[in-house]
Order: sequence, then C-alpha cells, then structure tokens
Amino acid sequence: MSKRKSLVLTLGALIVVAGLWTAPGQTANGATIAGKVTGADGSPMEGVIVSARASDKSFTTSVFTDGEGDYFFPTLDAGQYAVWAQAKGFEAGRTTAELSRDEVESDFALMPLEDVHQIVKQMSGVEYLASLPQSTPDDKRMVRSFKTNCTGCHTASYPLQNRWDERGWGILVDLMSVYPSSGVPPPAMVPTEERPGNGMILAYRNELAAYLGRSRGDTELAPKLLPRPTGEATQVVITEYDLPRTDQPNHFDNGSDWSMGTPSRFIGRAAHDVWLDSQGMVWMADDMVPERTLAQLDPRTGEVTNYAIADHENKTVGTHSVVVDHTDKVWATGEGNFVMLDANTGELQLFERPAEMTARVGGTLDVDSNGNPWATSLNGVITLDPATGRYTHYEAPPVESDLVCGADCGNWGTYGVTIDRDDNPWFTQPGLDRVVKLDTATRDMTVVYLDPLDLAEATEVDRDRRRNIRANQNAAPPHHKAPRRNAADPNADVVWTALYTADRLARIDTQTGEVSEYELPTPYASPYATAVDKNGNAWITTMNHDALTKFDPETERFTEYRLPTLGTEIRHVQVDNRTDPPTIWAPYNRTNKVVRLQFRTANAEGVTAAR
Amino acid sequence: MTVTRAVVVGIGLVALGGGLGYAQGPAASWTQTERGEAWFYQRCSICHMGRIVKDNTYQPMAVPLAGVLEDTSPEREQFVRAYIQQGSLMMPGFRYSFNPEEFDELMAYLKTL
Repeated sequence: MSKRKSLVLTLGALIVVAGLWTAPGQTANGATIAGKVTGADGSPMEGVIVSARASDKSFTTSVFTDGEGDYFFPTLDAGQYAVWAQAKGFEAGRTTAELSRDEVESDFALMPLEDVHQIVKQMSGVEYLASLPQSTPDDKRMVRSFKTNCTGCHTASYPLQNRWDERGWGILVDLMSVYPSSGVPPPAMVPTEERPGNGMILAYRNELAAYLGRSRGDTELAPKLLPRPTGEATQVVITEYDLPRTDQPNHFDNGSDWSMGTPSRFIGRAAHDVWLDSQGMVWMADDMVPERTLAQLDPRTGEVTNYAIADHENKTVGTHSVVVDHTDKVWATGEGNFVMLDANTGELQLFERPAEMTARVGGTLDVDSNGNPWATSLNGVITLDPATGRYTHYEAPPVESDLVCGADCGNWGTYGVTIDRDDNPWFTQPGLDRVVKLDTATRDMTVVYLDPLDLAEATEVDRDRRRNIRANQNAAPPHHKAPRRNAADPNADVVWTALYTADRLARIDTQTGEVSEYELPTPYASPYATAVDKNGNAWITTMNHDALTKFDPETERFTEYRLPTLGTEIRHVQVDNRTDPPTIWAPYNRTNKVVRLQFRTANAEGVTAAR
Repeated sequence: MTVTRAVVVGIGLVALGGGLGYAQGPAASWTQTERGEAWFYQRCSICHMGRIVKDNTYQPMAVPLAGVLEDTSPEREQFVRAYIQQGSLMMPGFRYSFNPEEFDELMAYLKTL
C-alpha cells in the first residue's frame, strides 16, 4: 500500500470529509480500496465501518478499520464507487473512487458531532434503551417493561426516535395494543368491544405513557453509545444485497445513511427467513411483498428471482419461514399450509389442509431426516407426509402450574421449532415460558419450564400480571423470558434457544432437559433466532441490536459483529458450512436487504466481497 | 388438496446507484422533498398510508393526505403546521420530534401529495 496520502477536510453544512485517493500501482490480485480512518486529532480510529458501493451493482460491501485505523476491501470489480465511513457520534466521511485495475487509497478524518439531536438519530435500539433514564428501580422497571411490551415486532429505535408528550405516547400504545404483527391495519385505532386489544400492553399502558412522556418528550436524551468493535469483531467482510420489491422501487431511506435515523418498514418489510440450497443459492420467505411466495438470490450476481403460487382463491400465498432439505426441496410455511418448491425443477406445490382441520401451519418450521416438514401450530406442532398429503397435529399438554398462564389457559402460542439430531421436534411457547419436546417414537411430550428472571425492579404488580394476563413474545412483564426461536446442533444433544425478553441464550440438553443460560453481552439486545454452525458455535440475531452474535460454547464467549445498516430487525440466521469458517446469512426484515458475513482468519476461504 | 403451479414471476429489478431507488447518493445531497418523504415514511406512514399486503391494498386508518396542502394559502399552511406540532385526540404532537430544518422538509413533502 502506498504511503502517499493527504487529507482533504471539507467543513460546512455538508457532512463530507473526503479522502484523497491515489493509484499506487496495479495489485497482483486485482483492484481494491484501502486506507486509514483517523479522528480530528489524527489518532487512528478502530472499529469504524467503511462501505463501498459500485454504481452498477446491487450490493454494498463493508469492512472495519483495525487497531491502526487501517482498512482494506477484498478484490472488487472495476467501477465507479461511492465509499463512506461511519462511526456513532461522528459525521460520516464520504468520497468516490474510480476503480480500474489499481488499488485506490481513501483516507478519512471523522469529525465528532456536536448536535445531540444528530447523535441520537444515529442510535440503534440498544443505544436508545441504554440512554433512557434508569437510575431508580422504578425507571429501570419501565425501561424493561417498554422493551418487553413494545419491541416484540420492531426495534426500539423506531418508536424512540420520536419525542411525544404523555398524551401522544398514550395514543401510540393504544394503537399498538390493537395493531397486529401482520401489518394489516385494524378497523379502529383504539381498543373497541369487538377488538379489545392486547391485555398485557394495555395493563402497562398508563405507566408507559407517563414514563415515556417524561423521558422521551420535551427533554432530549443523554446518548449512551456502544463502544466501537475491536479485535476479532472487526475481522469480517459484510455484503448487503438489495432485495428488490416486485411492485415499486425500494425506498431510498434504507438505513445505510445513519444520519437519517431508523428507516420505515412500510415498504421495507420483505424477507423473514433465509436458507441456502446445495448450490449456494439463497432462498427467502416473504409474507408481505405482492406476487412473491419465495425469492431466490444468486450471491454471485445479486440477481433475485421471484416465485409465486396462488391458493384456490387465486391469491398469492405469502410465506413466513423457509427450510431447504438435503434434497434441495425448499419448504415454507404459507398462510396455514405447507408450500414446497423443488430447487432442481423450479416447480412449486401448495399442500392445502383438509377444510375441516382447524389446526393451521404456523409461522416457523424445520424438516426431519425423512423429508417431512414440521411447523408450529395450535398449542403444538403440525407435520405433513408429502407422499400422501396427510397432515398430523400434536398438541402440548396444559400448563402444570398457576405461575404462568393468563386468565384463559387455552389457545396459547407456539413460536419456534427445530428438529434435534434424534429427529424429535422441540418447540417454544413464549407466553408460557416453556419449551416442549415431542418424542416422535412414543408421542410423549417433555416440557421444560423456565423460571422468571429474578429482577430487583420487578414488583408484585408484574408478578400478578404474569399469573393473570396472557403473555407472548411481543408483550410480557419485565421478568418474563419468552423463548422465541431455536436451533438444534446436528452434531450434539443440544438445542440453542433465544430467550427474547430475558436477553439470554439458553442451552438445552436434549437428553436430560437441563438448561444453562448465558446473558448476552449487550443489555436489551433481545435475542430472536439462533443457528448452529459445523463447529458447534451458536449464531444469534437480536431485534434491538444491529448485529449478528456468535457464541462459542467451549470458551463461553460471545463475539458481536456489528452491521452497517441501522434498523436491521433480523428474525432469522443461517450458516453456509461449505466454507471454513462457515459463512453467515441473514435477512433484514425492515430494509429489503439480505446480509452475508465472511470472516477474515488466517485460513479463511472465499472472502470475495465483490461477488 | 395439493395445488401445483408454475412459477417464475419475474426477475427482480436491480436498483442501482448507491442502493437507492430514486434519490441518489448520501442523504445530505437529497432534495428537501426527498428528505421530507423519508420523514413521512418513518413517522406518518403507519396511519396515513394504506399498507399493501400481498394481493390486497388496505386503506389508511387515518385521514389520507393527498391534496391537503395543494395550492394552499400561507394561513392554511400555518394551521397545518400547528396541527402537526400540537397533535389531536388521535395523533401525537410532533413539536419535539423534528428540528426546524427537518420540519420544513416534511412540510415540503406534504405539499407534493
């Protein structure tokens, strides 16, 4: 790398600090971009995320600066690039680069922001939650109650980038009590006799409105920003692919420019889950975008192909979750039924349940070793024999204690399901704080209950609500755990379960039912889904934290890989074990993107950011 | 019952240029109206825009705003500004949420509806 550098500092209203790029000569391995990021005083800045986007490509590549402030991209295709460097609390540095066969050097000097309003807009969900007042037990209880009741469907940064008075926050809490996670607007914006609203949210309504009006109304927050990543957490190449809608362009406010805050999910909601087939093509489930049942991304080109199937009412079937089995059959949960696409032929099939069968195919699924899909369903799980089209439903036993249930003990929700290495499904029931195993040989069910958090700030009011009001993964008292999605290790007797409202990862021994819990390193992260790679590492997505997190069970150490987009809202993660170390994939459910993580280690293969 | 149908319904259009659909480059270079549109999508769309869900289009819950500031008088614009700032029985007031520059951007976008 050439040492010939100079800095151009642009002052004024535009948030531009442009680096002078030079062409030091052709590199052996093709063209790339590299440089150094410093603070205003010239000292190197580690953990700054630098992104590059070619004008003719549909993906953005990002890397971090190291301990010396240096960064470098992998080999990139020739083209006209926008390059920008972002760190929380600083104005972004921006430049452009014409990349041909040479290495281009772009240095940045980042200027600290002085306007608190601009700093706050850059914050992610965990930073907003940490910045809320919480020095007293009462305030701490309200921060947790906000997190457990108001961030089940979206990151905290989305509502908290607003500042309203108590009356205004009350209007929003009322609306959210009747607003479904499907996104279909309710007929009225307030609870009505016909649609009384979520009981748990309404139980906390007045307390939340008063606290938020006081803490996020006429006074600005004192921002508590996360420290930038260091060491191993910076040794990653991140590729974010566009997932174009079928009906209109993706919105330009897409979370890539942190100065705009957290973007709207209005037309950004698309892929919920991803899964790779044997050829490395990425399949995505989508429950929102019109005329799309499944989408396929070619990581080499960024091209997206849409697939659609209609039901007997000629309505395009939307899908929530997807799993590709070992024969490249792409199974998905599709509005009450299983959908299957054969990746070898492109043929789609919809397996409609018998009309008299009330138990529906729910949101998430897994596939057993015989190729039979299993999904969450009414109080339990449902499976299909694809050869006969026959559905079978299994219901979990009623709750055994009066500690958690709600006034109505029936029709509780089931959210996550995974098949362990003995071919037994494990499914979560977040409202009941329990995980259930179905022994497919004996049809016996084993229930694992999770004790509530022992929180000093939780009160008898909270304990009473946990006993008497139905909770779920989206609305719960502050000491609830809400096991959400889970993933079995195919090489061990272990199921990793995300304890959503407790900010913990649970390791469940599939033979003994023994539970070990690990607290995530960033408070309020809200772990949503898990995956397990071939090395036994658990990968975790977090609703309030724009990051993908690895947990190494041998060292019991977490590594958080921050993401370049604000408002990622990742609900699923998958691993590609064909590379070493494995490559990680996840969909952004707020911003029409799919992300790939490749790791820079001494023996890393295939770190080819441009394709 | 099993339904089989075929299937490829289109190759996704690749949105080019900084990852943006129509506004180009960093947000600081977007027009006042484009920045206002971003604020509108972030803060207003949940109630004031109909959500498209698969094959169905739903009407917005709150008042549609098409034409609300078309060829408006300065007095009318001032009234709308104050209304957004103060809120109503069904809408929170936005007087703390935006700085003056951002609020002007939002108003510029509302005039295009």
